Amino acid sequence: MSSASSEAAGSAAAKPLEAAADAATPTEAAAVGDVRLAIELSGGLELLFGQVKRFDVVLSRPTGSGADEPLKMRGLLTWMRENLLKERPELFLGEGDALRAGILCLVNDADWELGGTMDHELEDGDDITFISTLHGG
Amino acid sequence: MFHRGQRVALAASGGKDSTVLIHVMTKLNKRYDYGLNLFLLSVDEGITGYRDDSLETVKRNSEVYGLPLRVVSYAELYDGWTMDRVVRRTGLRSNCTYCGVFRRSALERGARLAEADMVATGHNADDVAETVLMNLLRGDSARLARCVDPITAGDTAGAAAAPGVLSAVPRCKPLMGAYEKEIVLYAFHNRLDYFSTECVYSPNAYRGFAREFVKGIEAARPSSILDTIRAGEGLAPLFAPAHRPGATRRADAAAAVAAAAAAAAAEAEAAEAGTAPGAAAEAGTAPGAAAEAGTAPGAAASQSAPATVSGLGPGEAGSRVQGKAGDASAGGTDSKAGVADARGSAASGAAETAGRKAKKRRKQREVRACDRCGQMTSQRLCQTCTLLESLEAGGGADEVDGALPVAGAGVALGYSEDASAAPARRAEGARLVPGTAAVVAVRGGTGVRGGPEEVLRLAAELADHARELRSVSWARGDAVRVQGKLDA
Repeated sequence: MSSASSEAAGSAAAKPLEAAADAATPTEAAAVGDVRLAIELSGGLELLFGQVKRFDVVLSRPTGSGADEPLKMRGLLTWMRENLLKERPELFLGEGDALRAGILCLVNDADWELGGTMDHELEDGDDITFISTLHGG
Repeated sequence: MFHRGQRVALAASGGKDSTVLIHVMTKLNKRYDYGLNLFLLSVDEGITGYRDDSLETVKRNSEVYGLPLRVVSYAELYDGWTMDRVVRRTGLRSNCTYCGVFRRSALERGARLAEADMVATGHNADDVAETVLMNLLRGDSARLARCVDPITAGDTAGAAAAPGVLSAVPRCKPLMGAYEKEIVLYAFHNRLDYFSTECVYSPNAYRGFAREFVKGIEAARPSSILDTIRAGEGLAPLFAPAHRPGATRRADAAAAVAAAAAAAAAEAEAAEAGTAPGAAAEAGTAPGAAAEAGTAPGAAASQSAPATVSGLGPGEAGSRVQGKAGDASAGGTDSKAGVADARGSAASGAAETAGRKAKKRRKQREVRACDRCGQMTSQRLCQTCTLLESLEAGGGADEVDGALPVAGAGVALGYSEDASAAPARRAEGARLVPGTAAVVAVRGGTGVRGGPEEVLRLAAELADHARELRSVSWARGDAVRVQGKLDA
């Protein structure tokens, strides 16, 4: 179960996103076990996400074998493709929903490589930034 | 890289690399008192919707860093040939080549107008690694030799400028050791303001393939980028004697004589080991190369072959040096005289051919002024003017801004909302007469989904099937028109 709200950078009114996968029961306050994240996009990536540069989202941890597993980056990327990406997914993700080479990822301003890239665990309140380098300089 | 008091033009595009370049150069110039006179130089290629936006960023940079800005445009430098117009004429295949040549030349002219001593560009390590690979894949050994230099002075570096010839302003790449990733992160953490959109005309650029590859190997082994540059540096001297036009005759002579000596020494060993005189051909080419020699520099004396070639003509030098080399090898080992003679006769024929080739190479390197613009070149026209002439000679109807003349039998094909449908299939279905002009109108609700990039992707597809792509134009929110002549 997850919900998402967005702020379009620089615009006055916030546009509500299209329904997320399970919008039947939207949550107002984050329940225990939910992970609140701020996702920021730059380097032109916002074009793929409907011109939005920042999303504040709440994801729930994946459940498996009874106990809650930590939310990992790979889970976030798949979730983003399903819920936030507006067009041309191949420009953001590659095979198996892996982040496309040439797009940098920072978790709380630190290189995601330090936390295991795709297996980087995400905590409640994390700030994740995606920066594309794939353009002229 | 710099000297105190130099006027340095910072090539500014508004993008991540040039913004970081400006930031770093300004900061270091102040902090360490380099005493450099910095200013911004920007090129307006005339690409609607792309360059206008990035130029706004450059203007902001100019204000933020307090550096004067000079803009040169294709429109004013090249008789109104903006990239918009070039693409209308040439389509999307070779447009990047035109733009690359025009931009380098525009930077050159802008720098000269602004009396700059040096032009600094924001090329990063990834760029240089891509360039090394591109030149390798294209077999462009001359460029390969130059592209890893931190400072380059153009095609005719080092050659004494003849009167009336405009010499090149040196160019440097201060950031060439920095990874693109580092540059992006630097800009991010310093909250630098830059423009980040891919050029709308570049989907088919060759560099795109090299870039994909470099990104891939970086992921597997990050040091690959710097290692590729180091490989390029290692390869450069191998091509330098023959291909670096700036090399003087003396350097050539040294290299050639050294090569002859080395070849002769190798010859001698091979002869000893009893290998066939097929190797004689090699000995022939080495003295042939020496045929370019004008004087025998001191360097030659340090070589094992005591060959002296002072004052000899091309053909003569060939056989004479060969004779010497033959002597050296004969002298070096016992009873090689017979073998040396055989080599001599086979080699002098080869030496003559090589001598003629050397003469031709010398002629090509002659420095002169371009007939149209006076820039340094070794041909009648410099590269830029050659391309301009080919554009002007293009012939056929040119599009007038805003109006699209449809010549002859114009056929409008309705297109579906699904912009991914292949234009060619549609065209076949409509049974067009091959060779006629056609207008393919693409209509979508709020313009083609995906914007200009999508349009150009379609245009590129059409270009695959069309013999001649005339024009691409679109009005936001309405229809897209791609006009071309279709193949049979």
